Amino acid sequence: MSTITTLNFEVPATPSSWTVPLARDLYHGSTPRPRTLLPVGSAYLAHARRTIHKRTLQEDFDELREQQRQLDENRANGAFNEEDDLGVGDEEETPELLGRDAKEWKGQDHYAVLGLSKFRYKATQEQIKIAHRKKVLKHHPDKKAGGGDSNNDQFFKCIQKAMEILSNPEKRRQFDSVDPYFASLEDEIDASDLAKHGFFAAFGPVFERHARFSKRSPVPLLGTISDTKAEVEEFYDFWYNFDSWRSFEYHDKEVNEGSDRYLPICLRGHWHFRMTVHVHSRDDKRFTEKKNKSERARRKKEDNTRLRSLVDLALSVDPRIKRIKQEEKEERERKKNKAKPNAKLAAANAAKKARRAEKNAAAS
Amino acid sequence: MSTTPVGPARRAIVGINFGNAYASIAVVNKEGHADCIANEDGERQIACAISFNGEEVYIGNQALPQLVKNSQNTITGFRNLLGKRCVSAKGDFPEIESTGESRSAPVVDVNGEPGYSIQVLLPAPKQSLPASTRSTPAPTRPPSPPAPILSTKTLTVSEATSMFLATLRKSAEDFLGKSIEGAVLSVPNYWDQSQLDALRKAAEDAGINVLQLAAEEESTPEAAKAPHDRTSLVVDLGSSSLSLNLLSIKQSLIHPLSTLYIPGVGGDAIDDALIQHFAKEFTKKTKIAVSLPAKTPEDSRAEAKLRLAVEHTKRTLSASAGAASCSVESLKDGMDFSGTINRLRFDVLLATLYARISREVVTVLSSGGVEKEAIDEVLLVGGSAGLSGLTEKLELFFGESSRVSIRSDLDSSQLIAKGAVSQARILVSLPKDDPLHIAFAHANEVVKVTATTKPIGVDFPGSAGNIIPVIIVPSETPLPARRVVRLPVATGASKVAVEVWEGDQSLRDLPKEEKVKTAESDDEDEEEEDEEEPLREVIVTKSKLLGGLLVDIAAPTPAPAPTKKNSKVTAKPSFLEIKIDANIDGSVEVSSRQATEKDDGAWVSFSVGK
Repeated sequence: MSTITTLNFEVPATPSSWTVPLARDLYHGSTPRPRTLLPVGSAYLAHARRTIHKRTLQEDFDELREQQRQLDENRANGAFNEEDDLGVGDEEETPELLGRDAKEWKGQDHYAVLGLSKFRYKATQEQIKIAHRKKVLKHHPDKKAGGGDSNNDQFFKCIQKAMEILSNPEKRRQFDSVDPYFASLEDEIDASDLAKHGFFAAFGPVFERHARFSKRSPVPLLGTISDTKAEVEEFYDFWYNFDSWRSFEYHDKEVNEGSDRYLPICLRGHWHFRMTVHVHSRDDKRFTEKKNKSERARRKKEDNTRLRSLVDLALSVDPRIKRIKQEEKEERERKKNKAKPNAKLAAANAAKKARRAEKNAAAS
Repeated sequence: MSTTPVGPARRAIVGINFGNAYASIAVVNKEGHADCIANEDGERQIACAISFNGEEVYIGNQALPQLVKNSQNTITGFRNLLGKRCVSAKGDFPEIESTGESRSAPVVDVNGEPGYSIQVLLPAPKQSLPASTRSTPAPTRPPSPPAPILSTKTLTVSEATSMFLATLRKSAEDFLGKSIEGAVLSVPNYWDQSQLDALRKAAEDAGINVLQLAAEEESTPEAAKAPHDRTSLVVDLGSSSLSLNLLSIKQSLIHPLSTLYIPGVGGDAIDDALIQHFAKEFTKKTKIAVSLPAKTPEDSRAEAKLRLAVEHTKRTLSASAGAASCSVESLKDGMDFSGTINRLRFDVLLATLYARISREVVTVLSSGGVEKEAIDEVLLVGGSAGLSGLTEKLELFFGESSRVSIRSDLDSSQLIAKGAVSQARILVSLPKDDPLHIAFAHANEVVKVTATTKPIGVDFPGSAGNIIPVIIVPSETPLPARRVVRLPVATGASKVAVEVWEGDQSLRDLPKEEKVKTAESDDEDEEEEDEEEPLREVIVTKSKLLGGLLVDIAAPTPAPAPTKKNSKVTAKPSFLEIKIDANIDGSVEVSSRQATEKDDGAWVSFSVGK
């Protein structure tokens, strides 16, 4: 806590005749006298800390510097959740993101705009709020450093739109259904992956990703190779009858409430070719809505088929199925052998059958 | 080194200045500064008054008008009675100033504690409808609501304080939007343990978590917030008393050098003087006599009205230059009163008061062993300290060319509350089980320190004279202390020597300025010459040599050749750093080096007294 005061007194050069005074000519400082401090102020707090922990000024200073260093280190490691961050942290926006036009909010990645691209659908409302506040502080046109180009608040509008969508549970669900980030992941499963990573490593995360769409919970996940038959059956049962809330309203086309058109009309016997008429196109509206509906149905069907084919694929290569079949076969064999007292006889019979089959085959 | 936590988690803390006549609340606002808040009525200064009028209870400024018609059931000035016990069988209390019965309800003895006896209207107990055994032909109508019952209630001072503090707490919570985590209350520094305990208990009964009971004078320098070493005089002119505190503030560690408490000099005394003045004016105008102190009920009502009006007059006088008015409707016998007073007149009225204050300031300075030239600043605190006449009087006292800064720029009525909330902020940042808490308890061991008795400074050989030019560690500095100063070095010096001296503080006369006599103002000049006091300044003379150091100064970086852009480039001067560590045992360690950008110079040092 050593503040350095700069004074205005100029130090003159030393005359060459001066020498450092000898120790015996020196005097020690006068005896200090007792005083009582008033227990107020941050300086007093520092003094109290030194007294109670019995540190000298230098030791206390070093101690505090050490603590500060620890704090900075933790913060750098990201282990430190300051201000109840809930781990939201600070995410820099990419230049494309910053340049987005607010009118095209349908196409933007709302999570990326709010800085939650790591969390995506897992982000809680609290985290969304915190992230939103951080972004607003950073990008609010009035607060922007450098004069503030208050005309350029496009990104701020993007932030507002993102917040609007993500805070509304209905809208958020719709957005999560068509989250482009996940769409790109979903297309990635193929046979090469299997060979590379093995069944569980490849399919496990896929099922996890799909699990979030389930209306029912808990969702059985892929599990491990040592699952019982019952568990495996339960798994496939569930996934073949998967109940998904995923819906595709997000991609609906705008329903137009009518437009102004040039329509040649006849007024009092004269044809006017350049009249603008506001057309309440009810037919248009109905048409768009029908289109939207069919689009939604189509995508949903597509989604379902995709999921189904995924489950089919999993079933076909699932090593556990093979294992289970193997186990069952052995069970049956055992049972059969137990039923028949003469195991050897059975084996002989089986051998006979086999030789006869061979003879027949050789004969024909 | 203490970093004030500025997180969004702003703690709900409050500083309460609980005075005898007014109280104020301060919180930490959004920018992180201490700020006084207004209560629901919009008042920042909340009158300490409680009034019972029938079934209603008024607390705060709304209770004040009740003093006129309902003074028997109105309580004011109860803070000074907290913690006191009955002295004699009659129920006398030594502290009640003779302000007359118009002030408040009579004080009675309630189990040895001072209290008040008031009359209230209690709502009558509910009457249940009589159950009839037989059905009656006519429907039973309940009787009209019963009249409330007049009853006498006794209220101890402690209960009254709790009621009052509870409303303060509520105002603060309404403002902050959450419940209070902790509060620091201000107390006069002459209070004893029983008074402190009584206040603490009353506050806790009101639901306030008391972090510390800080002496009023302690809180103020925190609010005034300048980090340099100084000697401060705190002048606390409250309603009932004057409190003078001479404080030494060294790197924000405060310790008192001397204190003085004078009851009876305060806002109430000022009110009395004004009331007398206006009553006389009224009598002159209307020929209706108003005798003070009031004996008849009409006179006491008149006095109460005047007292309330005079409060506004005082505020106007403090706020603006020029005249202030005082108007009372129906002062006596149905006659209205409207009078004015200007600053000059006001100061004349209060001349004796100001003179008394000056005398007491002299006393406190001498008992502290400090000359008035050695005072660095004067803090004005308290509701009545905002009067401009006081500031002028103090300026006169300290002299025209004195370096004292009289801080009349700070709002005197808000300083204590702001200081209290700053203190609360520090306390609340400590974890609950931190051992540092004992440092803030009353009369703890940590406050005991030793302080230097003589200033320590440096001189440079080659400069003649007996005076130490640069003082580094002033006297009355709490130990252990570390001071670092940086001084520019004359260009061309390759070696610099530093002599460390301990000195004696004294005064010396400043050379008088020659007054040029003009032909016109001959007479006036002669008069002035006699009255002029010699102006003096504080100097420190060399007493004992502690040691010396020789420091090499590397040549400063040569000035770059002036280019087109910067044609006026001078070489950067080198700086000498001197660090002095004064330790508790009286030993002193001095180090010196050339100041470098990266703070990596090697120190040359010596130590004495070990």
